[in-house]
Amino acid sequence: MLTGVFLTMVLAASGPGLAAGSDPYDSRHVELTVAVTRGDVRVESAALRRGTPHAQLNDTGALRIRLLDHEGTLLGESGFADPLAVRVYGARSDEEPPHTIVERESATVSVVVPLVPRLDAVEVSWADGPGDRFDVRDTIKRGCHKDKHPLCRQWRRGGGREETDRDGR
Amino acid sequence: MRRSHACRPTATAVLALVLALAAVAPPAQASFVSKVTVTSRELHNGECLDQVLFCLKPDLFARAWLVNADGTQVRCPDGPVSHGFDNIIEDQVLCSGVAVEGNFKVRFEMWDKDGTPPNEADQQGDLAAGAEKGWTTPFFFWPGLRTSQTYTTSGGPSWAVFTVDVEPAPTTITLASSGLSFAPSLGERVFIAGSLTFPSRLRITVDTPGGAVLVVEGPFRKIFNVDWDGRGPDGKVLPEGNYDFHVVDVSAEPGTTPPSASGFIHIEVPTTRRVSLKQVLPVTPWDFWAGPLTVIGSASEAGSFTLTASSGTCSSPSGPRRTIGPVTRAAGLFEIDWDGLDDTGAIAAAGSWCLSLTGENAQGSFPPASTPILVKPRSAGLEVIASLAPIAPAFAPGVTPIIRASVVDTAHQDRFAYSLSLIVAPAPVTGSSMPFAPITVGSCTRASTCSWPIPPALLTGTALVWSVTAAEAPGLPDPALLTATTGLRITDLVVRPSIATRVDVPAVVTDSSVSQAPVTTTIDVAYYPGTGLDPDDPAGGSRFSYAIEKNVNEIRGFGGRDVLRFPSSLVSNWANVAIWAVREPVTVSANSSSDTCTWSGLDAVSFAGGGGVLHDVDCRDNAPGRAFSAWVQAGTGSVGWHELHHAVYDESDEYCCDGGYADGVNLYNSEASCMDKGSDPTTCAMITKLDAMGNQIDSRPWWRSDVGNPDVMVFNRIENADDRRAAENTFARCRRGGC
Repeated sequence: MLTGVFLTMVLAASGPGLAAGSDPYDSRHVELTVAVTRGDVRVESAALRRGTPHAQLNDTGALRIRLLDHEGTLLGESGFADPLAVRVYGARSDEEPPHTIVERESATVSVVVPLVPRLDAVEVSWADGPGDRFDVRDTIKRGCHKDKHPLCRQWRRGGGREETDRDGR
Repeated sequence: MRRSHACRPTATAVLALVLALAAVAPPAQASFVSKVTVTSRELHNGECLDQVLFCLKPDLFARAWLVNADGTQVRCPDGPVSHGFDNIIEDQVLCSGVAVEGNFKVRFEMWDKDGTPPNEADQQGDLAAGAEKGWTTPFFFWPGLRTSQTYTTSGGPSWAVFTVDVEPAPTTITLASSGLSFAPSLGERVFIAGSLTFPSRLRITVDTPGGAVLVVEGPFRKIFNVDWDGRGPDGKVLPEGNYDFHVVDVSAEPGTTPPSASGFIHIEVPTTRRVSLKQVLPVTPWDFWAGPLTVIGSASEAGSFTLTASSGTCSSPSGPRRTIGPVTRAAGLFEIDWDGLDDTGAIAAAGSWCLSLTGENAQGSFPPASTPILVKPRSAGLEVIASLAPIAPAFAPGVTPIIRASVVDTAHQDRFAYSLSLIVAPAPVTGSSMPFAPITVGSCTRASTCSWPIPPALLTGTALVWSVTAAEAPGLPDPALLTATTGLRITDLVVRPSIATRVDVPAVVTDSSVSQAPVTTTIDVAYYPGTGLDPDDPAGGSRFSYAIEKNVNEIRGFGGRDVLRFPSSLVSNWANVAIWAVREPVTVSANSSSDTCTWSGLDAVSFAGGGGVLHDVDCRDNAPGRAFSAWVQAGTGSVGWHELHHAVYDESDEYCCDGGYADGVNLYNSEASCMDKGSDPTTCAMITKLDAMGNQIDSRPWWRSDVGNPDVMVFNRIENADDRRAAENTFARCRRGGC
């Protein structure tokens, strides 16, 4: 389970005497910029960011997020709220439903995924429709270069293909 | 009804009207409350409201809102619907004599009734410039100021004429008792009490030979209860006799006879032995699980006194009783506490009881005194809701914060607790720990609210860790006492650039060190200052903290109005909820075509499960994904409450038919799925849309099993069974570190 893997990583990152994850800014995650229409999903870019990703993503979102290793093995899957559906509030009385849903033609959203060992690619797709697979290995490799954060170390150890830890760890 | 083509007034005429109104200085306030009548006079459509293949003639009707200064709104009943005319000239009363407290504006709207399902939403005519289609009066009406103003809207392709009539709403003063008696020579005080139909400013005086004594002058909402010590203008206790008192509404309309009430107070100098029951504190009806009642008696001489509580009325006491005493007391006022137990040790049953006070000394017995009281059933549940005030002091520099707590029952209605106590200590910055050395600041007893100043030495730090605990009275028989706590919370006192500020986040203590709870164990909600609430904006920045508090109270089910008080799964799991605020402002604007709020860029808090952009732009709030906007002046509903159920609990709407549905949490894609997964399979029903006659006009193949309205995923309030289950599933995951 994605969350379980992520938790393991955060626990490993904690210092002595400090609750694991109590510094939400001292973690690592991968942020994808995704352009979406009903007929197309395109990952435009990826970047390694500092901070903690929300375990977010939900189970039932219309957009599916899959984390894959270099062999295409599924490391974790979750949903992401439909970026094209905007809940528009207009009811100003207590007797009306709070909102309607307005459909956008396109949207560009940031999808944040945890940095987990062996993460090599992220696939973003509609539940029953088109998607896009994005290779994040080089992004992580560059972002984690000389970064001694435990999540980067763990990724290097178990991570990208035959990649080894140049620090000797 | 006259229907015609009408000429639009010129912009010059409108401007002249506005300038004329602006030049009128408001006279002195006449009353706290106005009676408001709004009349639609003309509606003129200048746009295509009903486009099919060609533009249909509209079915116009008028709508008006009374907008209070705090943003809350009262909707007037809609005007009658006309059919097929662009111009309606007819006097249509929308609101008639509606009582409004304080300053207010009127927003006038014109609508086209569109009954074509499934997209049967009415179309709003554009009466104003900018994104807002409704036209709002440019100035506040002053409370109670008699006036009649006719407005012509301007700025939109359509226009309307309407009248606002305002007249003062005089209060009615009802005295609790017009004949009072007391003995100030024994230290007694008399209470002048009563009720009001409308809030007013009262002056209460007592006529004495040396002139009128002013007891109090000030504002009162619904009741007044002030005490007087029986002293004249010279400060000396007045001699025995009757003295008239007067309660006058000094906020009444000038030139009219102000509402008033009068009675008399008898000052006695006891020449005979007597004991009397002067007061019972805190209040009755009373719930003894919140502590003892204090009975205040008064005796003309020293003696031994006994308080007897008897079940039933004073004329026919029966059943259980409790005897306390005799206790020896000097002449004058004295107190005896009753803990609510009868002589067998059982708690006093709810209902009528009689308190009797008897006494004796060497000269013999005192004539007994008695008074009836009511005992409440034990309040259902105990929760404590607390925050700093202002809730985010880092965004309110210059304001010395305090900590404020309220006690509520299961339904989040106010209740009393026996004790409310606070501990507070310095807190570490995010990502570090420090030794935990709490200070007990003090406690309130028999209270429903409590406020504490923060020790000045702690205010010089960067953050506080604090905890408020409420408890029922000790020493009572089973069932067990209830206690409630906020748990340890951290609040930042200063803003840290580029890092979210902790408004109210949980803390943990490990090996005597305190640190922030891991964000993997919390649902994190982050608030951003949208346009109008930028902390650097002198015009509105100070309201960012207010907006946060308003939104947090809404998700705590602790809103300012009764309809916004409800049990909240967030409060039940507060140890796993964290509230954050971001310093960097977000630009909010109204989309020119759809008048929806638009904004971008909420990247600062990647760990937040929900993000709220709080702003002061009158646009239609909306929520793409996990973020939402919330207008600070929105008076009804709560975008944040509903949106958290989408974003954090992964719930779907439970009403037909705007989509966004998913199977398995609180909505089901088949009846079989509902019966299998729903909280109550016997209540599975397809979500449908009904017309005014109750006929089904649309449905989608989705089922819900939640019963009971107003459900949070239908009308944005109560969490029913599926909602509670979704919440508990989420929090169970958080407690395992999976959030």
